[in-house]
Amino acid sequence: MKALPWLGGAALVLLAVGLYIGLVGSPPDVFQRDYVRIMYMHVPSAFVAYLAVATVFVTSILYLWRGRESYDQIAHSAGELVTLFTAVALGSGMIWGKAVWGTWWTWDARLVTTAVLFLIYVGYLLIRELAEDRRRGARLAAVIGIIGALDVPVIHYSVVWFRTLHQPASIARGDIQMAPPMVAALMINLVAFSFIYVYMLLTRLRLERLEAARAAAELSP
Amino acid sequence: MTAAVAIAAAYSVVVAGILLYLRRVHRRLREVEADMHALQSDAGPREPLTVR
Amino acid sequence: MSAWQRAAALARKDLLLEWRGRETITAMAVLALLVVLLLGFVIGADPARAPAITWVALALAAMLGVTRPTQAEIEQQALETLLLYPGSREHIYWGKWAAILVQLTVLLGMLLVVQGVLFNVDLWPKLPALLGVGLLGIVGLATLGTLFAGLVIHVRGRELLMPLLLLPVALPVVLAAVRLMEVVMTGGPGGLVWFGVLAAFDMLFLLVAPVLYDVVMEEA
Repeated sequence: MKALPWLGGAALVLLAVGLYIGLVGSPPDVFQRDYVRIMYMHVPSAFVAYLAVATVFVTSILYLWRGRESYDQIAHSAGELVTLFTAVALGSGMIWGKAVWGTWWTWDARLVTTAVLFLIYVGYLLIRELAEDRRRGARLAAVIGIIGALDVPVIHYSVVWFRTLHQPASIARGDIQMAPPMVAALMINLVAFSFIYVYMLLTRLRLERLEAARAAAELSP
Repeated sequence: MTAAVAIAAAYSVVVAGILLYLRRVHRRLREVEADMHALQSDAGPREPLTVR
Repeated sequence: MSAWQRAAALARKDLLLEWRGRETITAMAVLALLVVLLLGFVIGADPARAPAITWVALALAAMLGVTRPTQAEIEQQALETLLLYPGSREHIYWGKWAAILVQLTVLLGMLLVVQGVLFNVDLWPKLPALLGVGLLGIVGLATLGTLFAGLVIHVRGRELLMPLLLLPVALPVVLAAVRLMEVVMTGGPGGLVWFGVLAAFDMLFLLVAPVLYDVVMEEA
């Protein structure tokens, strides 16, 4: 893809702008003070993880339905990105929690949901490795990709309600009141990270296609 | 943990994750491209079959 | 033979096989009991904790038992013969689902009794409601478990994959069942919400899982 470097460049420019506003051009939070600025990288990471989950979901259905290899190739690439971005969201989230609340793990609903999501998509990748052959691995992974994605909203709400319905929110994160520059920084970074996601997906997809071509070439003498 | 340390650490986690992953993908891309070149040059000399 | 008759015949066969040796139900019951004893002792036998401990035990035991009907068939190489029968694989799914559901219901009954005894909980007045909650929960576990059991047949590392797949995906079932059981036992808000979560979960996967079972059970 010729346009790929441009996409990467645009992403970096946007990210620079977003981070400038986020770090320098926006006020600190009333409650969390400057620690809130972690959100400008943490939230977009989680957002990309969900983008990747949606990608896996759609391409898995298409793969099972139509059988075209390209759908599976996109799904596999996106699956790796789910695990990467959930891991990164977890890491930054844990640092945030340690900094503001003093504990590495706060059992906050979103943190737990992200951890569960990470595990499901580790399973998604593992099944490809452990299956007897490539095609079966792809088909089984598609099943997991679909089930996992369908489950995400249910997991999210049940985890949130488990904590909040039963007891008045004592472990509340403390709603962050967002001043306009904060909203702007967050939005810009969400777009920047979306560009980064597409860039990474296309790069990984190119690798997937070349490796498939290599495998095919090695088989035929 | 001061805010500056926390922000730096959290941002580093995200950036490092992305960069390390991209590095791995690019490394594998170079390997694949090298292999493809090797395979093509293997097949190359044999291609033009002159009909006698 | 209609699809339902085939499914029922399959369920009967699985249950009959199980009845002969009762290995699976014994393994599940022992594991569940050990978990309850361990957790009850370590965390404390506060009656308020009873639903949570019960459902953790149930989920872990389900994880163990759900692979058994399919495993037994591989061991007797009956699976290939089964797959040769014409028609979609859905009736195989429902047959196994029904068999596992029966086994988990037995396990549920046992655990409710254990809960009553060990945690000093008065079950009798609330028994129908507790059974209802239990059934909603085990339907969720059975629905996903049957699908994943089929999924892991052709895969190495079954013992790792089954927990890794079932527990995260079935997490809402455990959470909702625990809260709903708490509401039944001690009153409190949120009953309708948790009932909704369980019902939604069950309905969603009762629709989706049998369809995906075909993919999972296909030949190489």
